[in-house]
Amino acid sequence: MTLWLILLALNYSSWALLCLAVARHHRQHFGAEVSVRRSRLLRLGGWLTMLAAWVISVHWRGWDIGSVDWCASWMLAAIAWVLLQPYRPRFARWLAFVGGAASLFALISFLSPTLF
Amino acid sequence: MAWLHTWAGLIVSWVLFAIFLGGTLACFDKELDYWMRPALHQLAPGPIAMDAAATTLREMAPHAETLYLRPPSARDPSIHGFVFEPGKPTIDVALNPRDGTRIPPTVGGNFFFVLHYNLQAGTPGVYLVGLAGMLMLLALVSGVIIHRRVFKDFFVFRPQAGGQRAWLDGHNLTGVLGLPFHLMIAYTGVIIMMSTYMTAGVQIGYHGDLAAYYAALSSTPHPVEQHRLPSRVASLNKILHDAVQRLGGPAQYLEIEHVHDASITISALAAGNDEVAGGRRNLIYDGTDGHFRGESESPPAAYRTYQFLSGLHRVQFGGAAIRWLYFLLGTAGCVMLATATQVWIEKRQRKAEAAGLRSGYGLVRALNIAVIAGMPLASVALLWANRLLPGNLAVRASWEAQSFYAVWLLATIWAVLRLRRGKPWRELFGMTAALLLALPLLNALTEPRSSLLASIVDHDWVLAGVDATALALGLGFAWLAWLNTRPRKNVRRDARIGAASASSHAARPREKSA
Repeated sequence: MTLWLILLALNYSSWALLCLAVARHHRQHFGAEVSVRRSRLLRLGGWLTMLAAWVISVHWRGWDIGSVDWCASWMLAAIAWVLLQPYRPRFARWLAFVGGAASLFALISFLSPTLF
Repeated sequence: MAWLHTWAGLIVSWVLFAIFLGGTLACFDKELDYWMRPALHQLAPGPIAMDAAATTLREMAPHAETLYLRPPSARDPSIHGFVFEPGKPTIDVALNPRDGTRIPPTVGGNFFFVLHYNLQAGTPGVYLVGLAGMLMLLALVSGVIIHRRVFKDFFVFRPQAGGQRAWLDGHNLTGVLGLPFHLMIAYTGVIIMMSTYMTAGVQIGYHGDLAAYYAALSSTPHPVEQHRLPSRVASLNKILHDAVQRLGGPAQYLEIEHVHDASITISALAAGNDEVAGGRRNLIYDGTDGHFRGESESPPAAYRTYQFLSGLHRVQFGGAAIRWLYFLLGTAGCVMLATATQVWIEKRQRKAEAAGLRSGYGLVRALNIAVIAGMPLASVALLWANRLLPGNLAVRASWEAQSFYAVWLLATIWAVLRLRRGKPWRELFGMTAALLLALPLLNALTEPRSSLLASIVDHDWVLAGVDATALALGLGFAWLAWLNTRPRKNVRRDARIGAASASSHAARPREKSA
């Protein structure tokens, strides 16, 4: 269950980052032009988060089932972000931020239980 | 290329919708099987009666040479018996795991699974589904090619634009973002039946003898007949117990070969739910004294590849969570198909209004409602029929299926009759919502021991899950019905709104009209 939430949250955050890197959507969300540097950073963050989700999934469930898990949650997360975006843009961003942060926290506490 | 997408898609979109919805529901075929068999609910704990089940199956098919028994699993506590005899109807029965007796028949969730691969129409249906699957692959590929702004509009969804624009956005959204799933499911779906669709290999390698081809694929070495009756028959209970120990996990099937011969052999196939391709280990036992003979060889790489592809499609691996993801992605596929026909209809609305209702356009609209709003209604009606038909009725299973067809037919008539004066979308979605929301109530009234409350108290999450999902889906359909209560905008007004919103969002990037 935790794995699923982490996978969905990370994939969702990665789509949010990739989307906000696009000039048109950045303007929609923040009303300002995105700088080249910011756009690159957002895009890099998006791809890295996506990759991290895949690594976690494969680590937990093996390359075959893990990849299927990742791919399925990847698509659903994309649909969720795109559906939420026009109706509740603020909530959509908030979810990406909180979801991403919470899953990073969960991961760190999982990897190093002695730290906490 | 656009014409290819339109026609490859449109011709089969309704068939594909039925296949997609059937397949989406079949993600939980065993859970529905269980829900539809109240005799299995609240079973007393006890040993698994594999031997009694085998006796029942032998009485049903006294001349069968091979029997298959599926032991209880976490998803379905019944013992399932299968017999495939050439020239006779397949036997597929659920048996009580405590005493091996037959359980009152039902089509079960298996109905949706069969509907999904042959539209309940036998071999011609298999070919029709295969054709639809191949055309879907064509429509997917041509769809990506004609969608010039596939990356630019990757995240774009403009529900407020209304009319054709919003439908097309919805179609692109579910089509593009779900594309890996749709490609995978259409491709593997065709591949599963490849020996039926592409017969050249079997024609050349096995001179058209399908039985010889399947025998060569089977990993069990076939015993040589001894032409005398077996002196005794080993206990299946003991063999199953031993197999589970050796496999370190559940067995998917026990196969009993040469039932009436001294060469009787029993093999146990591993469930292998921890691999996409499914189980590869197959344990072989002597059928007279039950001693373990050894393991058959792993299937060859080519066949293992086939198993991987069909495993990806059939999603028997990885537990309930992955089935839920498939269920949601399948729903996205249904939305992709429903919005597709809607785009086609909206696009032709003005032309059709000029031609008048007598044109085929009215018929297309009515049939569209009949398929997309009618099939969910018929599916829920099947569950209602399961609870309302008397348990001791011999033809119960076929009556359940008949009620599915009858309700679908009624929905079609309703859509045709109400197209001009009423709001058939809202009415059919509303009826579906009402039936879904009342399903837990019906369940509690007819089978009090299986009610949502009782199953929660009993920690029976599979049973409770079906009722809870019915409630959630009922709310979803109520929302769809509510959406359809809003006044329908006409095309010209939509065009103006589209233009107005484009100019009022001048801050947005230059939007070229697609």
